[in-house]
Amino acid sequence: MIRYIIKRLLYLIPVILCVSFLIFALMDLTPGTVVDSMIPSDATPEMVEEIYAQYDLDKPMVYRYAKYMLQFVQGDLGKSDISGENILRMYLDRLPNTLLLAVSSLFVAAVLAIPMGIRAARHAGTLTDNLTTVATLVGMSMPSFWLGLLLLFLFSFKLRLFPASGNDGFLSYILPAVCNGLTMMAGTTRQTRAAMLEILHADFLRTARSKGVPEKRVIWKHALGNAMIPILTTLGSNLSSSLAGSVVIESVFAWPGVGRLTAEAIMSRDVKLACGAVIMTTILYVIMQLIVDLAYAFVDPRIKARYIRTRKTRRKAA
Amino acid sequence: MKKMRQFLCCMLVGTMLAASLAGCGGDPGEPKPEGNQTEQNSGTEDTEQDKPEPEDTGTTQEVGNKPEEGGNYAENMEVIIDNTQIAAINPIGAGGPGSATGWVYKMVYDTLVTWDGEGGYLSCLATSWDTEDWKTITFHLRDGVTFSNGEPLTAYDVEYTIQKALENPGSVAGGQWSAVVSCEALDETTVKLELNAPRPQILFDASQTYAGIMCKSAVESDPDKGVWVGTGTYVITEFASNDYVKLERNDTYWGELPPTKTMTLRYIPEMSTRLMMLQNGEADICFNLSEQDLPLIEEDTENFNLFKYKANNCTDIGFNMNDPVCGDLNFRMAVASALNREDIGIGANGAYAEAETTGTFWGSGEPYRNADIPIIPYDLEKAKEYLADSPYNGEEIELVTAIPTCINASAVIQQQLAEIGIKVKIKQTDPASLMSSCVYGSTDYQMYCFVGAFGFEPYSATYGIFAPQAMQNRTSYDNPEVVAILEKASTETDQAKLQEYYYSIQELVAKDIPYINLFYVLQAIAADKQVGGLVLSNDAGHDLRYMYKTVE
Repeated sequence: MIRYIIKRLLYLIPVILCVSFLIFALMDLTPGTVVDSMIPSDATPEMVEEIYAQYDLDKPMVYRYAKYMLQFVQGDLGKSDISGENILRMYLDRLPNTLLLAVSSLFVAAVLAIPMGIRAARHAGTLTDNLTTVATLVGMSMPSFWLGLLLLFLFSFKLRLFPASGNDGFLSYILPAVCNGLTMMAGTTRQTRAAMLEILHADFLRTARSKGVPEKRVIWKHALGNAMIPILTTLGSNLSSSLAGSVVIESVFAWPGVGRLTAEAIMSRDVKLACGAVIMTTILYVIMQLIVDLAYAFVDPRIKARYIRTRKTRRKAA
Repeated sequence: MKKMRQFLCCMLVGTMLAASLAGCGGDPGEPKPEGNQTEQNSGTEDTEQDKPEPEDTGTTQEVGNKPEEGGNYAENMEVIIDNTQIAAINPIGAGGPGSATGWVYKMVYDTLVTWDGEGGYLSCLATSWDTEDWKTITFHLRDGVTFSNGEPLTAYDVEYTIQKALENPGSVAGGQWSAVVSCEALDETTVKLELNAPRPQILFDASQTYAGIMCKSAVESDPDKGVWVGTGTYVITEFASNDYVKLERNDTYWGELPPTKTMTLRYIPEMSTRLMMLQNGEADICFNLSEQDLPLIEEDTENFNLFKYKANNCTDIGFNMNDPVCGDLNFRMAVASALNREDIGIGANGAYAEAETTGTFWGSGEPYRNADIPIIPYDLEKAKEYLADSPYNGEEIELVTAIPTCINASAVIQQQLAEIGIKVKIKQTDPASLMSSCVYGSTDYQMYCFVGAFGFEPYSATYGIFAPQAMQNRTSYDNPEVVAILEKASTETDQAKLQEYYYSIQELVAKDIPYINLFYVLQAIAADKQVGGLVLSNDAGHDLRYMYKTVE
């Protein structure tokens, strides 16, 4: 398994190289540079040249990219061209907010989606199932910014239960987490329902029931345990996407996360900050996907057994 | 049974949709929550020294609730800034900050002099200044001024600030001091500047928000946070880039102390969230709301005030003078005659726009504005005649635009020009891309619709917009007569002569029409009824230092 983890982590190198080059190249192709707004209106051409040179904009993109990557391999993401702050520090300052939002949204999604999906599958074709299908369709088709504004209007403006913005205290976490969680929930519910439908009529469940295992245990332990892989994949993908930051949710709730940081860097043509933020997000994404893959082994004994078998085969061969 | 289920499903979906749509409506009459979460204090002590600023002038106005004698003020104020984010607070850091960053600079740093808004200058950190030729200027500093860290202000701090600015030409302060060749502290309270040419505008440069004086020892000991130390009314206590800045009153301030103890300036990206925060009482003042939301505040006169002002810069059309079609005067005259500015203003920003009524291309609050230049009247027949005499052959003309107001305006312009047979293709982009294509000598665009770039200092503004090669010369305009007059204006100090020069420039530009002014956006700031002491400037360089909220 360690070999597998190392192999997966090594994949990060080409991925980072591709992603960073892509963002550098795309931002170079986009009109406008970070210094355009810095040049005083009565600047002389010499002063303009000096400012461009200060930011290496008089040199080709490949030179700037190579210089940046050289810095990166030494563990330095550089400083933002606009704020002058250390990019890694800027990212890490915002990362806890994004993690908090992602994990709490995942919690909301899992707590609602899994029971709803199981119930819909158990009562397939009934009113409960139809209602669940309608609810998930509404959830999937409702834009998150609109849902966010509705939640704000109802719970913040009308009922005055939660603050409309910011991340000061527990109350301020609820609306963004619920909004993001409800968006995640729709897909997860459908995935849970589909996975459970496949497994509910399996022979091993019939055997368990015939042996007198209580229905609750049959569903929640035996059936759900076997249907967990696709659910875990959906939840893992949702979590990974949330780690990249949801620009829309972060904007509606004025949530200072990494999504807004990246979007604002791109808008202001701060190439180093945009590239640094994207690299960090890529690393997080790959690690999160790896964790999800490893989690399969814990929920599915067959996968765990496969890992162990591979290890034994290698030992024997040695 | 199956039909019953289907009926129930339909009912449920219908109810959900109805509930969702109901949520879209507003409730302007919703009362504010009772009680006030802010603590109180009993105001400020009177000081012998004069408050250095602000005074009501043609470009600024003090707005809001007037407090009674001995009134109580809220200790803390929550401010939602406009659409410009505060990315950094560092005078020697990267330049190009937005208006809200300027508000913070004004609160944290003092400048050598202050501008009175009408061409005169008041003392601030410098009590006097003398010059013989405007190539060398000596400032004499005020005694007894200390930085917020307790260090006394000396001429060496001024020298250090200017030298650091010169070392960083792309910095915030670099732009203000670009005319300085050398700076020398003659003693503790005297500092002498040598300029690259005679430049009376140096006083204006020295009065600008970003020309604030930093503390040398603080910056040297902590390059990151030391730059936050100024002699201003407030001290930065917390700052998160593009998110919020928390400020606390500088109780050792040399002038009149502000009434509010702490202020938080926050950036909220979503307009609807801003509105709800204001209505909830989570914010005391909001500097930017959508024009759809503004009537909700305007109607709720019991709880809110709406402060309006006309922006200095007009939304305009610029023609690429290098383009074979747009570079033709008849084509530009045809466009100017075909535009109904009233309709464009309404289409762009609803009731919060005011059409241009004069023919000058000059900021609304700009000194030496020649309002007597007649506007080219709306006349479709004349427009068609001009078009017939132009090289236009029915091809599509590309109109580049950015930001919602200008995009809306462009759609109306497209319709109006279609009436005389000009086909316009709108290209939407972001401000950075637009600015980079509309540079001097560019052939990347034909027409643009954006907001003007006038500053309050007439020479710098005029040079920047009309001189060849200048950064804001978005139309590649090049008229040697204008350049010659600008040359004369650059060293002139006589007000009458300056008026003559600038009036002539405006007349020449009005004949050439490289730009057409369309409408001014009526900016509206929504505030709690009890908010006052805010000084609005029509270039958005507002002064929040003495802003307060009265409490019972």
